[in-house]
Amino acid sequence: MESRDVFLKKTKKGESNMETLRIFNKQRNPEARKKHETSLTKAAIWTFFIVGSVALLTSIVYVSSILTFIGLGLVFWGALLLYIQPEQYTKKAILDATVIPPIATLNQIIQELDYKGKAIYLPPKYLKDPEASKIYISKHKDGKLPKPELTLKHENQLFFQNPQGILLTPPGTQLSNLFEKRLDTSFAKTDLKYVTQNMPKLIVEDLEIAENIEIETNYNTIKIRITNSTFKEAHKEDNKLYVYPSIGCPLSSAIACALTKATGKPVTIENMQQSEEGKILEATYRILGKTETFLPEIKPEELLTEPIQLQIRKRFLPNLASLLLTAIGSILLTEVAWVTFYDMTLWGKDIAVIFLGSRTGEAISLGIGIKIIHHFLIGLASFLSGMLTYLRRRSKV
Amino acid sequence: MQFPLSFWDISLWLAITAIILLITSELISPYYGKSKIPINKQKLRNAALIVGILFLVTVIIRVYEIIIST
Repeated sequence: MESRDVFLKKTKKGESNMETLRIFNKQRNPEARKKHETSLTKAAIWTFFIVGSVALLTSIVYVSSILTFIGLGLVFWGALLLYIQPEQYTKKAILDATVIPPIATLNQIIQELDYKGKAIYLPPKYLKDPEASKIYISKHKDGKLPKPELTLKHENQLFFQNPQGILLTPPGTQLSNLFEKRLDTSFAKTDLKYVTQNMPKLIVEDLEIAENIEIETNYNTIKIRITNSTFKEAHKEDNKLYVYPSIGCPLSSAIACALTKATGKPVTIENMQQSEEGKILEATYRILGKTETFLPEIKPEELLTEPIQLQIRKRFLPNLASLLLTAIGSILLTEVAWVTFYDMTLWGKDIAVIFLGSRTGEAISLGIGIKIIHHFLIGLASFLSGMLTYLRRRSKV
Repeated sequence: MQFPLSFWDISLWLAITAIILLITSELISPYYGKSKIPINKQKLRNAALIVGILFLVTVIIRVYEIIIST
């Protein structure tokens, strides 16, 4: 308002518009107009904290158990809401819109330059920066891979002359870096076994990129089956592109980057197949032995030969929550059984009286208004839900 | 002025809270398919396990008291 009044005052006096505008803009402070963005969640969290704290303090002054329970609950749930806030989410439609164009551009470049070779994911020994990822595409269909000395010297170069080829950054390189960040390690310092054991948990549970992932290794071939990936819409579009079966989508490319770093050998994507509705993606990777040719010559004992299922299903930790529920239920039911036995033997009470009667003034009191039946129901619910979730997890194996 | 809840009231409250959190974390686990609930599921699971373990600690204290008194 003040700045507006100044503006009007100045124009009335006949001063130039430029001068008045200068004064107007000077008085406009961007910081003063900064809007406070508060989300509904944060408002709810602070409301819980404040109301809960007030209730707790009041309960101490007036010695009220009900107020204490209310206050304790509000403070706890406020803290929990603050703790479990997720990272910022982006709409899936935005992801689908941004993933496709870079691969389409890559496709256009490769087709325009008439490069016929298969994309080869280069291991760290070909690059100065071991954390980086690069793919090499030869001009000719059966072209040779350049020697590591050449790529080390000209890593930032796009085109190679002898042999003729192109060096590109794969679409999955940043996703692969994210995998490493989440696992708190570099794939270059691990091996194939580590990747096959940790990748499923990372993709399914931690990052929730896909619903399920199965990895099967056999000599120098690795088959991956991904169910309901976040990139399935991008798969459908990219599937029409010439380079797609060779370079892969961001997810399959990221896995290729991880495999080449872990094995220390060049990797190619031999085959990519998607089911009709796009729900299942199957990719076959081949690890190349010799660096001069494409012919795979890997010793069988270097790789795992038996199929590897989702290891996470056999670990104890995922069942911990269900076991804890069962344990809590068992403890409560044991306590109910003990109190019932105690009352029946010592006081000769009837079971209906024990379960449904008030415990005020009793030797074993359970709290205000709480009866044995309440403990029994809570214990039973906990025990059954724990058993059900445990059995459900086991049945998925 | 004293805190109105006894140790056993808090123990019961911990039990109920642990049950609610454990069941919730199991139901929204990505293990059973993708859920669209925008919360950090791993942190919820951690919170549920912590509350559950706290309840078990109170149970151990109770058992210890019974053993000491006999």
